[in-house]
Amino acid sequence: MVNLLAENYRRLFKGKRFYIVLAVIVGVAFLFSLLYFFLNKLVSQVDMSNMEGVEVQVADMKMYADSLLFAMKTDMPLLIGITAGMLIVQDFRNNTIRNKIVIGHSRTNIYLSNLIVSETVMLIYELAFFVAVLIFGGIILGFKEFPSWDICTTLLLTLPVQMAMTALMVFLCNTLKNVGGFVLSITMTYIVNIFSFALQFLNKHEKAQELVREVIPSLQMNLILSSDGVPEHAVRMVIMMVAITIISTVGGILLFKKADLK
Amino acid sequence: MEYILQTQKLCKKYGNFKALNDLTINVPKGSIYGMVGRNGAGKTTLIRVVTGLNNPTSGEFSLFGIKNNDSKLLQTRRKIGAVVETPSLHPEMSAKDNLIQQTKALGISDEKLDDILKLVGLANTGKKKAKNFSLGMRQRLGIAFSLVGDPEFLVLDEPINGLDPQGIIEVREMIMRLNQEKGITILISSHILDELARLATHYGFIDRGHVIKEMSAEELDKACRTSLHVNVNDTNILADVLNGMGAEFRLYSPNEADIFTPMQVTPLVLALNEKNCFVNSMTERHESLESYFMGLVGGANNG
Repeated sequence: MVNLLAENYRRLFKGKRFYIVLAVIVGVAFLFSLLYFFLNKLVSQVDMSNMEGVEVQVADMKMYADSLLFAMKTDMPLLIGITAGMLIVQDFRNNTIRNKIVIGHSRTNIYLSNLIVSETVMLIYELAFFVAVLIFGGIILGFKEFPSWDICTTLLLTLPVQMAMTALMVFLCNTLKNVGGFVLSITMTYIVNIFSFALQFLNKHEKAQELVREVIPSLQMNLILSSDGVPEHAVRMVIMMVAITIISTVGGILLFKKADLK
Repeated sequence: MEYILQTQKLCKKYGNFKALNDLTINVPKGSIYGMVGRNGAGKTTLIRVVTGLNNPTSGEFSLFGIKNNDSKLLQTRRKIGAVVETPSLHPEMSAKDNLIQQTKALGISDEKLDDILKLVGLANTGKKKAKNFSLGMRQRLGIAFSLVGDPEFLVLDEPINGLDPQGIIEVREMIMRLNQEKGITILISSHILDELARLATHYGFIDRGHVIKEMSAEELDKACRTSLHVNVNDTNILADVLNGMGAEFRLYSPNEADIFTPMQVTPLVLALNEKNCFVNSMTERHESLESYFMGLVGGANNG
């Protein structure tokens, strides 16, 4: 397993894709900070004396870097998929997966090493965005509440969701073994959202709707981001994401073990 | 005799298609085992099963005496190197970087890589990426990949595909060296039977997923008959005459044929002359691996 990880990490860090996506993530943090800064400037130039009956204070409209910490949460799976998904799919496309199987690495270990490397990519990208917002957001906009218990807990709660989404992405790429799997994995969030929204409209049972919102990773992410403070069923939600990670991994390994490779 | 690879009634089905059908082969230690068979005969499928890329449907095989259902097989696979069909390379990496990837997967140092690159003739490719390599260079890099772990058993599927004559000679010499100097057992499949005949010490003839004959090079040499190769203006007339004489023969074209039954030349020429069939040339020759194989699988007309 250690050898497989060494091989995978070398391939990851030698490729340009990892760094390009990392630069995009840092760049987005910087651009969002600038955008908020200019919006704040625009708002501060509004002459409130001409607005009779409007009771909004300019100070209330000022945007801080706190909300920026969550700005990339829903789009992060796409970026993780571009790097980690392609890393897995390329191993199949170039048939370099053969080189590992021929020398006696078990398929379980190969799958798990792909999962570990993908989760590492997720953590690095999440950390990179967090640090970039701390630096650019902190300097350009400043924080209003951060570091607060609510923000820190919410940030931590998003990690199991990203972990589950990454595990699903690994499942799709490892099972389909082609670019189709990669495309499906990076668009998974949007496809699942469409179906789950439809499901919510059709389903009138409140309990079932609640379950759908909590069990589907992208919906759970929306739930976490929209709730005021820590969500009511936070522990249950974390367990669900861990369960999705475990189930998709076990399922993926079983399918991979049975698969005939080119 | 000690065997590196043995299969017992190995079967592999893809849907309803039986790619391997009760296939049994025995690859002796220290041999160069040539697999001879037509396209779709099951050579590559066998290699895929042996290297762990495909799971057998039924039957069993053993590598270095370890059976395929034994958990120790994964450890045993470390002693194998393989090139299956197309070489498996990282296109964005240089030759050396590609091999470093394999050392990482094996958990070994990369100090021998320069020697391996020299051995396969890729020592001076520098930073050139594998995607810019010619087909021959890729083939050689694929072989280099398989040599990184110092294998005791090398599986090569069509290793000289796409190589120029010079490349073919280099790869042939390299395979001979690996076998003779390092004692590596080699399982090799190739469509180029002439080339295989120069290398192999043992043969397995495969047809429709089944081994129809296994033999050593000496046995093949004895089995290959001496024939009289004739060039005539009409082999249909030749066939009539030979049938009348009760001779065994094989037709290759409207003008060429091999006669296997020993016979006097003069009565044959006279008999042909009577039917207006003229002999252009006549030479005695030893049956080739190719014609032996064709005779074995019934690919040509037999008298």
